[in-house]
Amino acid sequence: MNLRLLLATASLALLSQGSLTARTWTSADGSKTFEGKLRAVDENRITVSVLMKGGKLVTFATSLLSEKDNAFLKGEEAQMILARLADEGAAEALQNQKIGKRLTKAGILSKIEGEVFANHQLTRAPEYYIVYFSASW
Amino acid sequence: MIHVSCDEVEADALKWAREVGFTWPTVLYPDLERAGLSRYDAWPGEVRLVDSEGKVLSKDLNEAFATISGVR
Repeated sequence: MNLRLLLATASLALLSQGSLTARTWTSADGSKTFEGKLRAVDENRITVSVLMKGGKLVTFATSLLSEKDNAFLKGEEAQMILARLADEGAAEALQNQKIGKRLTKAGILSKIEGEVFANHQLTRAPEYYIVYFSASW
Repeated sequence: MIHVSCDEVEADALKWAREVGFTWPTVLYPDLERAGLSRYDAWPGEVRLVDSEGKVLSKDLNEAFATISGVR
């Protein structure tokens, strides 16, 4: 097994074993801990949103968290969680669109990859679509 | 941007798209109906700016780009 495959496998294992589930967060002074799932971090990592155990979404300053938690937010694992949440959000948004729902049906969209048209899936749910009709004739 | 090829033969669509550099997500002709895009009744070279509900907002390319560039 090469290193890249090993890392990918390890990353998948991390995701499936709990990164998307609750983790223990610790306050900056180390005096308090709580359980919650990472849901969002703002662009400059000033605030973080955590889904608390009871189902409440709480947004607060990352400065209130321990160094370990801040390191986690900067790390690859958090980025993977956020990317997966974004994918899931886009998929759900596309299903709620009349046009997006049809375009995400299996085999509808393709994209040039090398010498062929390969299957393609939208990763965002645009508000508008420009549809261009073409023909070689 | 969604590219819809009206070429009935996939190889023709591929050749044309490669020649002009159309690398956008593409709906091939056999899938036009299933994609719900045949209702726009458009000819090759035409565009439709549609919202997420599929409502046509413009049939003019310049107007379409002007509209989306104003969004944000």
